Amino acid sequence: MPGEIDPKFEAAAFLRELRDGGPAVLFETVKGYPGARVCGNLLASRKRLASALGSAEDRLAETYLKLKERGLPPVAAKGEAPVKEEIKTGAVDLLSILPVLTHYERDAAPFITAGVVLSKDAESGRRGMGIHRMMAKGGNRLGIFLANPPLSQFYARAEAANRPLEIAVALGVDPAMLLASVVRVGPLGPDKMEIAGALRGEPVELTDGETVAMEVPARAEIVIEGRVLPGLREVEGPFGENTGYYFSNVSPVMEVTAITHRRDFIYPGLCPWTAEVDNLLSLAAGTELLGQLQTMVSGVVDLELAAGTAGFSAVIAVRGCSKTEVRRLIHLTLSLDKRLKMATVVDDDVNIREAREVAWAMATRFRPDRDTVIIEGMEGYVIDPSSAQSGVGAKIGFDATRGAGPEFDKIAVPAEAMTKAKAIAGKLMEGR
Amino acid sequence: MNLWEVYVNSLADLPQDVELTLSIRTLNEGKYKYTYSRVAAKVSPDLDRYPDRLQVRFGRGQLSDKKFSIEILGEKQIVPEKYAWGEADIEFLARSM
Repeated sequence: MPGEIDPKFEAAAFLRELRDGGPAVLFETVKGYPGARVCGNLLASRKRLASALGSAEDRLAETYLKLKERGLPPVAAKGEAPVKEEIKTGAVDLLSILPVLTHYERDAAPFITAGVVLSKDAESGRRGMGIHRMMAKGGNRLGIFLANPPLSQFYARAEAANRPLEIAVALGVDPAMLLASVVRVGPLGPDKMEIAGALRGEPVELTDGETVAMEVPARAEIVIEGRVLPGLREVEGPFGENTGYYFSNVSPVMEVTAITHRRDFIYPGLCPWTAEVDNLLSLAAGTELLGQLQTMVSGVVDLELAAGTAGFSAVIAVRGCSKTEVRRLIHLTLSLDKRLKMATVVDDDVNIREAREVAWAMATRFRPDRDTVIIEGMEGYVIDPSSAQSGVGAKIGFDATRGAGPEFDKIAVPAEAMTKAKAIAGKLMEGR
Repeated sequence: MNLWEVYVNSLADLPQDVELTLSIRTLNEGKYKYTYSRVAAKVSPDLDRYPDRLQVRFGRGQLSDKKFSIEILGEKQIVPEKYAWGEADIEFLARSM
């Protein structure tokens, strides 16, 4: 991108404007950070995601599920690790080094949003990783929002023993590791680093941390090391979340003990409530859920998490499911993922990635008195403002599948004419 | 004059002319805008009473229309002393890796 960009609001505003399918961008001149670069919007297109996994776009979910099952353990890096080209330990001033972005108007501070947080359970030695928002408070201090396991559990156990939890935050990792980090695995699930290896087709290279007793990704752009202190909480946020609302919390505090990075590092920007987040959630969390449902209910064809809903709303395409099977599917879907609050089931003649088509199915195939499932008294998700006060929420399912009669046959243009039209229309639309 | 901002649940969290412990962020322009300090301070709704200005926001970032003056009395250490980073930690880690 030509011209200077300010890490306070301007970079985020630009990423917001790019929308679904927009190009990946590299900001080469960042105000206040000579030599530093910021990238963003890398995963805001299913086509690019498919390319990253070596898949055709229409086989992305299938490829992802197949690769993920293989598991490829990480290996020790050979030679000098690129992330160790520059090493800073001791009293590190984070914001003097990293152009951490400030995203939304009422955000309390710059927030790290694309950091893969790594840690180890003191009891089991098991490695955990996930993406957790981190508030740059100044100096070597970060607030860290630990809402999800396993890191929230690791921290609870460390805190119970009055010990700090060592963590490392990898920034600028390849798409496979970013995706693997948001996959939900149970307490006995596989090491996400093995999933990352399988997704990228070769093992992740690791190297020892400088000030923490754990391995870190050798080819990351940046690694922040430190420890989350026990018995200490501070206000963290407000922060413009993936829900489209500001959310604040009283969260643990991390003390940074080292920053290592490539000499010419690129800082990864990830703006909340954008197409990039939608794609990341859709492929990792959505595809994971699809794989689970396909083992439980026959006829489940595809699943998409509705854009802009922070993964709260899923649309599922089915083929040949009876009304009672659809009802069972709705109950299963809403129970398997605690974030999910709304599930809409349609037939596979509906393009679930087109809001217009899903709205059409709802408008013409769904009958509210017959096809609605409401489940009350469920756990609310912490960042959902509708259940923020009580922690209790409700869930809803819509059966928008068609009836048996020909009155539900979708109108269609003959295939031959469509093929010809698409070729011509494609050229007309080029560059628009 | 420096410009600061604080997040509170209500304005009652800011009694005037008594020593308070606050996490405040600087609104002064530059790289460190929005970074935080843990301080002992006194505040007053009388804008001329103390040397700096303080803006107030609530939990979801709503800006209060009430402004205060503030005097920073000193920094407050937030990280307990026993967790302060030192040479002993590096030696320990070197041994454990």
